[in-house]
Amino acid sequence: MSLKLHLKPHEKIILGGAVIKCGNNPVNFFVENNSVAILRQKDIMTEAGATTPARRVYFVLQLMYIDNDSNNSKFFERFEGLEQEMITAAPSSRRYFVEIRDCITSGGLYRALKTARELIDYEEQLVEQANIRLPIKLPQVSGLTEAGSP
Amino acid sequence: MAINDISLTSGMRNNLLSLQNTTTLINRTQTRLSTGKSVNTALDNPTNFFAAQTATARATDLSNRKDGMSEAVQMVSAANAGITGITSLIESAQGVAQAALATTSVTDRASYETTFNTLMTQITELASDSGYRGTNFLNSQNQTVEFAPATGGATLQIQGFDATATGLGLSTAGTGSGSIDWADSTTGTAGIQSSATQLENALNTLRSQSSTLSANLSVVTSRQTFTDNMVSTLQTGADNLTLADTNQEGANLLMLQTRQSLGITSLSLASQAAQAVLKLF
Repeated sequence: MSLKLHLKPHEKIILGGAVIKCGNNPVNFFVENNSVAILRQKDIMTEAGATTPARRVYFVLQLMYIDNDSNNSKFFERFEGLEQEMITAAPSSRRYFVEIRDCITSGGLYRALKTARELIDYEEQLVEQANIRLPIKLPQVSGLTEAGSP
Repeated sequence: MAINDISLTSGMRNNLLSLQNTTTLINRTQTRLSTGKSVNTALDNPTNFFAAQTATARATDLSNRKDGMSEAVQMVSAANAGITGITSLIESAQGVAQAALATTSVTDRASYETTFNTLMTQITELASDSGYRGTNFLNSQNQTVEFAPATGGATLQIQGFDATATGLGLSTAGTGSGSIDWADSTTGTAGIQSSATQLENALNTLRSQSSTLSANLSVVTSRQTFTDNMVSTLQTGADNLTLADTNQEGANLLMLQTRQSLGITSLSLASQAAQAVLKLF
């Protein structure tokens, strides 16, 4: 089954280890073999972007997917460490982890990533809910100076 | 320097802020919890209650897969023990061939032939005895290991090979058909040398098959660990699920986020290739 892809101008995509960038005109194309890692720009998380527990989970799964190495124990271990921490903090996130693990086990890493995306949304909801119920005034930061600046 | 004499890097300040932020949040959550408000029970959250039940049932399914995996580990171990034994038999046979080369007496070479053939028979017997519960990787048998809860969802096919003397390409010594004659006065020396070459090739075959088996073994064991933890993910905290307080969870998550960002472990475990790819975004 081929996969239809649409790229906007200057949009990047990971395609089986290559990074492809669209030129000035939008492009439609088909990927005939779906067995390689395909990730759109909007789905790619950099390490700097992995700032919350759920985002870290996504990041590790993304590495597994790009490396195309779902049997690698170093990824497993890191994933499990993050999973344990998150389940302890938020037991209700377990159902996402169960699904993610199912996907990993059956080799559907792309589906695992999609579920991890849902986990990120869920985490946002939980944190937001806690914030709405308990409004907090953030200290003003504008008056502080950065280290190294005059 | 308006605020204080210690200037913070922006990263440190962000951590400090979220730490202060979280502490306030946790304190208020604790207060609210101690007043007994908004704690869910199994009764007012049936969804979570049944999710917990399903999880326990799935843990049972996975336990069956674990049995299959440990069986596969046993099969590989049995094959591995066989390979070790066969390797040392081949090394003995190499010694016999060396000794036969060292003498020119036809009588002596004929008696070395007998010793060599005994070793060949032992190799074949050992290969036949290296099975576990009916699967013998040293007799060309294969085994499919199931990992996923659904049959056929994720499998690993472990391929066996023929480790009998014939399978390893070893001919017996003697005058029969298909045998190499060591005791012939003119072609004996060449015969012993070709036996020695066969032995070397057999050793190489064993080494490469052995490393394939151990690669398979490490896949199975890492899957085993993963499945073990999957079962505990499913089983533990089923109670927590029915008692989850989402407000407290939000606060906990913020605290965890702060703790993780203060930690120094880098997340990058990617291969060079993947790192190079991610740098472009």
